[in-house]
Amino acid sequence: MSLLRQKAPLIREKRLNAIAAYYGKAETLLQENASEDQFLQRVRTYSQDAPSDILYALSIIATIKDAAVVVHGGSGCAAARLTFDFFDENNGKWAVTNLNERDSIMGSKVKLRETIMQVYKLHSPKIVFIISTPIVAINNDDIESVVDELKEELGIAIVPVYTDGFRSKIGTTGYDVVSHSIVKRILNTKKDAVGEHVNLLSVSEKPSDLKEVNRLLQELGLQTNVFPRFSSFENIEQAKNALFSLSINPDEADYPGKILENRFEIPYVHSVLPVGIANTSQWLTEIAIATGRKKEVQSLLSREKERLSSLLKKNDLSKRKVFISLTPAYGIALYELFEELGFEVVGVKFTYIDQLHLKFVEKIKAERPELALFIGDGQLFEEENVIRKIKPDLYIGNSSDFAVAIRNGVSVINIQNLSIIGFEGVLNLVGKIRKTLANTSFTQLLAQSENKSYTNYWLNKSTNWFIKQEVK
Amino acid sequence: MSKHILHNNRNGCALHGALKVVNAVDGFVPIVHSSAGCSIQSKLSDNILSGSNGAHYRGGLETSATAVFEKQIVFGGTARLREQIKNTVKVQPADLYVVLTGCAPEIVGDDVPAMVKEAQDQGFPVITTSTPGFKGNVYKGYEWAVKAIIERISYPDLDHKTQKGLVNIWGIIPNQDIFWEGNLASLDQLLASLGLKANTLFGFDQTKENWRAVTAAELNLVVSPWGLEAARQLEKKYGTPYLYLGYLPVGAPDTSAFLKLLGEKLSIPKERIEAVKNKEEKYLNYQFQKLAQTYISYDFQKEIALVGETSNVLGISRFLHNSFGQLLTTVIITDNPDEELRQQIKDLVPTNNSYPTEVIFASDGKEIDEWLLKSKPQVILGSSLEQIVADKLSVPLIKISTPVFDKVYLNHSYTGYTGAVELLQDFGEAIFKQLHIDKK
Repeated sequence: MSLLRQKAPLIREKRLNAIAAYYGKAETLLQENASEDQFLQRVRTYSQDAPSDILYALSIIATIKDAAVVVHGGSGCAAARLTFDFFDENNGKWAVTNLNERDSIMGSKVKLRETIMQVYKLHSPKIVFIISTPIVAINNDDIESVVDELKEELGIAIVPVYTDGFRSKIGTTGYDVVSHSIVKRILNTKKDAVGEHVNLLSVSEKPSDLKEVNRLLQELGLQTNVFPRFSSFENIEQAKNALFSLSINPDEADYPGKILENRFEIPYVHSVLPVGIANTSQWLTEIAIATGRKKEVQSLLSREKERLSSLLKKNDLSKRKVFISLTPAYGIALYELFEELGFEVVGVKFTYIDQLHLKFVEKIKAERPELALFIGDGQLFEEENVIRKIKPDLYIGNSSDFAVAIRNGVSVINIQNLSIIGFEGVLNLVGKIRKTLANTSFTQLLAQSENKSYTNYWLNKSTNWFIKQEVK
Repeated sequence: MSKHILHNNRNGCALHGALKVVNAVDGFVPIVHSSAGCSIQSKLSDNILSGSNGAHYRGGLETSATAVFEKQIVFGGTARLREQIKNTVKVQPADLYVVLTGCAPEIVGDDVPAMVKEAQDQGFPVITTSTPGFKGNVYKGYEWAVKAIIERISYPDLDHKTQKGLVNIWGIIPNQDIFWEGNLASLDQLLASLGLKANTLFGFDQTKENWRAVTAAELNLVVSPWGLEAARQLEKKYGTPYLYLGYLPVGAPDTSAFLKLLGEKLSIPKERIEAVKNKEEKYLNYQFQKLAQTYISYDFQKEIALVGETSNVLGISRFLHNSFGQLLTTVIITDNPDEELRQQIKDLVPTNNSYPTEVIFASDGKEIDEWLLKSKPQVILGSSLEQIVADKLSVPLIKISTPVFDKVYLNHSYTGYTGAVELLQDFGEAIFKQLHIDKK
């Protein structure tokens, strides 16, 4: 029960020793870890903006069916909510309390109550999530008493999500806060049946990712219950009755996996991220072993690999230089996949790393001792500094952090809308790489514009110039 | 019912408005003093919600930001801000750095002006304006940032000489007006047709030099309530007259009247204006003629509702009613203009004795939906948020306001004579699309 006792989970820095700022050799990190028993926290004395826990929480809650959202804060804290409104019937099922100066001084209990009531009347949700923001967190506004009152009055789940925008430097903490709040507030009863299903822990996956994962798991005869991304109220309630919980992304699934194990003794089966042939095979095999489906997995793997080998003819992609800029699980899996494909990985940038990634850091130290590990979310000024020096042919990233690559004439693959999960994902990725490298005219054109984003002073400095060890 | 709660909110906060201003001028760089994520939220809404308009590489992930954490909230964040300013001037080249504050440091009470003063004393062009979200919305953010920039960039040029024919344009908010750059280009063209020079101040090729020239202008042209403050400020300081149009003219009568007003203010020969008016109106009428057959055959006359900010909604509704035979049922203004301007805005909405029009000021999605459902228009001009109601009513939706999810606007505008032609085309497309849907 210990994990769930507090209103919010431990931040990733404290729970897993996550760090969000580093540039240098793997060896230094490992030495530090050996002598200090942890990665040391560093800060940037010049920094650029990075996503907060609020943004991560908003993105996942936007997909939960039967739910409505109250963003409890200023109007800007909800500005990005609309960008998650592509999905489905959840569109528009949210409101912001829109706190003003008086509320920031006098508190905002009445407005919160009223907003929840309105959202309830308008959308008849089974769950109302309340997203806490800096104004509310700094003033320590009372959310609990409103929750307690309305839970009784309305007879639905009212789930406060204690994000704040400033406790953690790791945006992924926001995902943890959502899982924490759901399990703590909704799954607060005992198991009521022994289901036949397994929890499929989905946190940042796209619908197309889940389609491939479900296809593979169905071949093993597993019946999945998605949690928490894209889950319905029914999915959430059934999570406690599952036989196992399975990870897709082992970084993001770590927290929901552990708290479900902790509270309901559901074994958390975690493996590598199923990206690439080797990793997908390993992921399926480990799940099959844990769930007693060894025989099924063997025939599945041989079928899939045969299909792939005919589709993945000898590739023409080798010797190209690639820069990877992604979350750790994706970055690590793609590092391996690109090596498999014959690329030269010339740079790796992860949004953060923590103790779950120790093995990879050791691997880099052993295999590529000179390769710099670059840790940071956003921080494109550092990317500009590196990319100009190493001049990769290809850049693989997510969302909007590819601006630097493009203006330096480096072709970009953005996996934001490209599913690279599973065996289908390998085909998608290889197909996209071929297309990207086959015609680079748009990138070349963009690179012709004058690039005056940063000073020469900065571009000539070492990349870790602004990264300093935190003074306690 | 509280008037503050916003369902399905379409407008960002003051910080976002100020960021839109600073990011749209080449050579201006924002420094955001807030907790992490504020400029990312702003950037996400720029990119995806204003017709892919905000993909310019500045902003968002490349915004200099203190991203203050717990320690700096508990013990104060001024030292962190000092460090960030000091390093930003080394890393990001700029003609002007604008420190913008978010909610967290404002609640804590960081002494931001002191830090900015320090940097100024060292000779760096750094200014600040207070923009916490709890103090105002995106429109107020535009007003405050513009004011701060004018005070710093334009005022010191006291020995300015009036530049004949130079006109500053105020009130178009980059990436909040989804047609901002197209609208600025349309005004630029219109002014050029009279031999005037528009000082658009935002977007393509606009730099510090344009802001410096603000005080040399002969006239300040104000096309939304949000430019009024800047115009008043400049009139007080320099005696520069201003023309408060309050909206963007669309089509013949309004555009011609606008040119006439400009001509009076700037003593342009009447013949010159007449010549432009005659040529453009002839062209526009020619396009109307071409459309006539289709208009009648497919019954283009509809009952219309409009949802959006004052500048676009007023101009478009006036054109639709006064030139295009449309009937206005509901006009919903979403930019929350100050109370004292509201009657004047209402008076600008065309009236029709047989078809009364409701004029509503609202930005709450729930309230807007309710008005639309009640008035049952046959065509809605609004944002992507009106799609749900449009689907319920089975009527076409034409996008004229933020947010827009499914369009790319690089240079799109309904302003002026040519803008009206674009509107006719988009109107027609929407009607035909609906006919196809209805057939199925």
